[in-house]
Amino acid sequence: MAVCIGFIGKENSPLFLRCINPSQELQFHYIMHTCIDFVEEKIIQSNKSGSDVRELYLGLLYSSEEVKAYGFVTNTKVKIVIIIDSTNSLLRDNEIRAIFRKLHNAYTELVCNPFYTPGDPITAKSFSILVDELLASSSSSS
Amino acid sequence: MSSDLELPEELVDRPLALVGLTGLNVETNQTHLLIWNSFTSSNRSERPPLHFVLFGVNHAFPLAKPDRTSYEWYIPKGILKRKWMSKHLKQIPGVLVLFYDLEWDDPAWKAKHAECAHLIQTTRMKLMGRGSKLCLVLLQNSPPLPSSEDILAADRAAALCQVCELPPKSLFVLPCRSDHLQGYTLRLESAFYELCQSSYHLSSRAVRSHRDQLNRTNHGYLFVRHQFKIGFYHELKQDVAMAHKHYSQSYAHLLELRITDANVTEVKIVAGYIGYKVWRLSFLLNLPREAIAHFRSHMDFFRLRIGNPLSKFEHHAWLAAQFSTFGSLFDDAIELGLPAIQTQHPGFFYQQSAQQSILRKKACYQDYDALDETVINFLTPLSFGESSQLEFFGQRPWRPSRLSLEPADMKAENDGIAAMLIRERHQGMIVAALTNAVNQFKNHRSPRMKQYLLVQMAEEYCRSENFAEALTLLEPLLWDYRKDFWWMPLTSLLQLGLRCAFLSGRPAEYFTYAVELCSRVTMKSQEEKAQLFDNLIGILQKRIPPPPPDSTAVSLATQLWADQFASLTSGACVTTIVTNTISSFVEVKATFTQKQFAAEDVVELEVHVSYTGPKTIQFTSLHVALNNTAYLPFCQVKDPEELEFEPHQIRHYEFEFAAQSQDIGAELQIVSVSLEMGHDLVAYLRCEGSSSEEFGSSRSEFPSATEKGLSGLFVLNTAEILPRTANVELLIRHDAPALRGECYPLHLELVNREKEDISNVTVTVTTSSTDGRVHDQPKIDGNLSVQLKSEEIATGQTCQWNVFTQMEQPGKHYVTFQVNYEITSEVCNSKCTYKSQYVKTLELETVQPVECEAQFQTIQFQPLRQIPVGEPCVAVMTVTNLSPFPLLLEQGVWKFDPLLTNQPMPNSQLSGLTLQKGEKANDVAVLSLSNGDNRHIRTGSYSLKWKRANQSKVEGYKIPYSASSFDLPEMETWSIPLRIQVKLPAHGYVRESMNMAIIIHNPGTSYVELDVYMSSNDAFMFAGNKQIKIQIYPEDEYELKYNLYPLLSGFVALPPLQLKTTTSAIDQVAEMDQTVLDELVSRYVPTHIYVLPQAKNGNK
Repeated sequence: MAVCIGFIGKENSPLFLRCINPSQELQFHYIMHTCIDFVEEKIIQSNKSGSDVRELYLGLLYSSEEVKAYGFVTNTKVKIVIIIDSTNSLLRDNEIRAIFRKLHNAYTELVCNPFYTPGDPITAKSFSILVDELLASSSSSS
Repeated sequence: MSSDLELPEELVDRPLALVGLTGLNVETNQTHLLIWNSFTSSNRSERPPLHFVLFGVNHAFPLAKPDRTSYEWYIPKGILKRKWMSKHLKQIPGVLVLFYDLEWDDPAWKAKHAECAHLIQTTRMKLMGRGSKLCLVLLQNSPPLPSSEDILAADRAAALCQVCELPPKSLFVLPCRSDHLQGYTLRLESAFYELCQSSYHLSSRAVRSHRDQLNRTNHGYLFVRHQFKIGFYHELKQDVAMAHKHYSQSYAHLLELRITDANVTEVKIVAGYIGYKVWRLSFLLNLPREAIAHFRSHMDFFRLRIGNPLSKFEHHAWLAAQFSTFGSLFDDAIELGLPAIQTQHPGFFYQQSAQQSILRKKACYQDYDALDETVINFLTPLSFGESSQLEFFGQRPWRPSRLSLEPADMKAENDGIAAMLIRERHQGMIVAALTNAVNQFKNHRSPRMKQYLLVQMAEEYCRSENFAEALTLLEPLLWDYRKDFWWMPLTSLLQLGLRCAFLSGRPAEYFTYAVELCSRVTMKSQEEKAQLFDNLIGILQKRIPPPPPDSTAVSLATQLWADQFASLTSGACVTTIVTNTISSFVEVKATFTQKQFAAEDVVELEVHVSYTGPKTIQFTSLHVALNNTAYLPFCQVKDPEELEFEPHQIRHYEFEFAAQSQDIGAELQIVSVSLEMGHDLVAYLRCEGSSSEEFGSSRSEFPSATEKGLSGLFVLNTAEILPRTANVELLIRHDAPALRGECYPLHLELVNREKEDISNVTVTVTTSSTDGRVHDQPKIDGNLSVQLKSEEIATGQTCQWNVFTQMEQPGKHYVTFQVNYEITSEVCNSKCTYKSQYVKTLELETVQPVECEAQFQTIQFQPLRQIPVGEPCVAVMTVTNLSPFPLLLEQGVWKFDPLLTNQPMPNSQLSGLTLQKGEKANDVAVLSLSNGDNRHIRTGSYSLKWKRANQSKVEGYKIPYSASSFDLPEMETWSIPLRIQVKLPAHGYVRESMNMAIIIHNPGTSYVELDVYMSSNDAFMFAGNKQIKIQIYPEDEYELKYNLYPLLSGFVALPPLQLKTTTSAIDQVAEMDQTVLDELVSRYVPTHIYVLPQAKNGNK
């Protein structure tokens, strides 16, 4: 099940992070930060291949004994990371894609809000409710 | 059991087939030593993988246990025997070689061959029950013969084999006197290697044959053990693929075992060992994916098999060992060329190893704390031996060789584990594993993962009370997280730092971390921040801050703090914090109000300080440091009232001062703004540059989104101090255009329009073109620049100068006037002297003044193409005034080539002449060419002195004449073969006769003979020779006389004269070209004459 969802800005600063267990928030901050390494590497790889249209979904970033991290990068270089408990093997790739798509839509809507400055940490209530719902649904589904 | 966690040496070493050598007396026999050395000393890598051991003749090998006929009632007590591997690696050879000195033709052949057979027999007895092969090597001195020729040798060899019961293939001869000993040993080695392989093959088959007698219920251990043995034999045989297969099978059998609390440690340990072999061989067979997959399933299988709850620490230790073992195997494989990727490299395994080590430590401390005091005292002397002395790997020392199915004695079990727990003191495994992991992540382009690991390392250092190391690690990490605004990790790191700083008694670090923790970006509650704030204010009053919660060694730390405070004198600086690099609770912006200040202006500087700390703060002073320290007194605040800040208060300060004269033209820069805190001890918050905003208001979401902050302020970090703008005027009067080469006067007038007197005035006049000259006197030589000076010019007054320029080329020229002066004025109640500069450029058009054109003419002013030799001619110079001004000509001076003689005139004809614009004047000189042949000559030059007519005097200066010089054209000379002189009146009258004489002169050196024809025409009747042949000797002349009677009036043609060369064929007569003669005639003889009509009255 997804245990944490995070948004990382263009300049690699955290925009938003929500996890199921608030006591682990610090740890997820660290993990989210390490994910940037893998995202950057993947972007470099895809740039090398030279195709103009880049797949936004990056797939599995890395897996450790505890967690698996999946990544997604918008065209404006905003990174979305979903962290999943390693013991969970039920969540499929296309389900993760679906979650990313929803998150991407939510972010797009957020950016359309004139009171939000892109690059600032996200405080919008509707956005956090939506992410919470996604977290809850993805963890209950498994 | 902790010793069994580390892999035994015999497991890690690459197994080599063991070859025992016996019968070599190394100590006394030189030849034997030589043979032994040739086996052992040389380069092993290119030779068969064998390990040689020297056994004495009477060496006792380990006895083989008699083969079990039935396993029916046999229950194994453990899985792998501790000694089995090392026994096969070091003690039981695959091949045992007996060396024996025996020649084929030895006289005592009979006796020796019997002895040899005896030796073989006894050795064979010793190795009874083992698969070892025997072979015999005969050491011979005689050189070997081809076997087919040596019938004796063949016979005796056969006999020997029969007696010794050896197959013929196991008998070798080593000619030990040979020079090629090494070659022989090499061949022997490969023979031994083959024998070894077949020997180990036999052994493995022997083990396999037991299989049928085993049953799964009782003999699970044996399934594992036998497969392991077979695998090991194959490894000795160097058959990696087969070995891998059997090890894998052995591992599979292991997983099928029934695992209980009693045998779980043994199974885990053995699983680790077998797993090690499997993974290593997988990497060797280039199957890294298989290795990783196998390892993962291995971990999944055993991850939760802890066994006794007390032995949790042991379980984590085992897991840590597994991860680190696999990590280093992976690492080795990478070193051998296996490519690794960012998401799959040994770092992850090292990281897990560290993680498990951390858990191990945690479990250890927890369980230890839970133990009873009495239990600890009771168990402190160990009641059992070391596990390394047990028969089987991985078993418990307190229940040696007990069957695993026996019910466990819970008391003994718990006591045993507790005793180990007491002994367990953590060795630095965590840091070592983390260091390995850090290196791996660094190599695989994961800097942030590396940071995370370093954070863990710092935490570990802190836990193990190595605070200095922890702080050193922290410092760069803080920056890493801060720069991308990861405030939550940053807060946790700062807290860690604060803890380390407190426990190691470091006020400076404590202060710094506390300042950053109090800033609004950190994720702490206001109460916590207020508490921290009190602590850091307390430090400045030498109060020891309260210890962080749940910390040990508080009393030691308190002592350290007291010592630190004692060593600091009153007023000493605790620390200087550079606020640009941290997110502190003050934000400072300092800016100049303008980009540029004029030298006389007041420089204005503004400082804005925003305070976001949790409580009211009182700073002691504020300083602004500029790049010139002289301004420091003007840029500080000490008034306590102005330096008190409420939370979220912004204060503005303004400073002004006069720029110093040495800074004029330079740039003033704000170097730093420092805020001083405290009285007893002080601390400085220094903002370097002019803004500390970097970690401040750009992130407004964290604590206070409503705060205005300083984000809207634009900062001018530097200001330029401009030189004064000069307020003088330079008026230049002149009469343009300038004439080329002329001494051209410029009249300068400098008007002081400043409010004060100006002094030390200099005017530097420079011409732009290299052939221009300028002079302060009316002279035509000068320099490229000239300086004019004046001591002082009062306000409103003027000063005047004249300068004279001279341009050698026509066109546009520029003259630059640079005025420098000093002025003293009062700014900010102080008198300052400023330098000012004023620059003006004059564009000067220069034109050509006169044009001179020279021409050579005959005395009759007919143009000449050639200058005739020995005949007078004239040079005519036409001077045209091209300038717009009338020009006064002083004189023209001819200068002729020495060949041309000239009658100099006392005065030039042009002297004193004034030419208006466009007028022309001629200067004429008569000259003659004394001698010469037909050639080109440079005729000479003409120089003209002139000046402007209306400008004889300028303000008391006499302007000199300027000279222009012109070259006369180059001319051809011509030496005339005949000179013809015609004497004729200037005019005649109709019907009135007149005389004409034609004198033909021969100036040459040869005799001339000519035909002269005088034709008649309509205008004249004439009397004289119409046709005559004349002869002229050199230097002689001939005169022809005619009487002409004009018939018509007007400008009429004379009767044409014609000279022709004679046709006589006298050789001496120099023949003259007809064309030359024609030209001579046309040149000297006039063709026309004015004939006037007769007066009407008939009288003259």
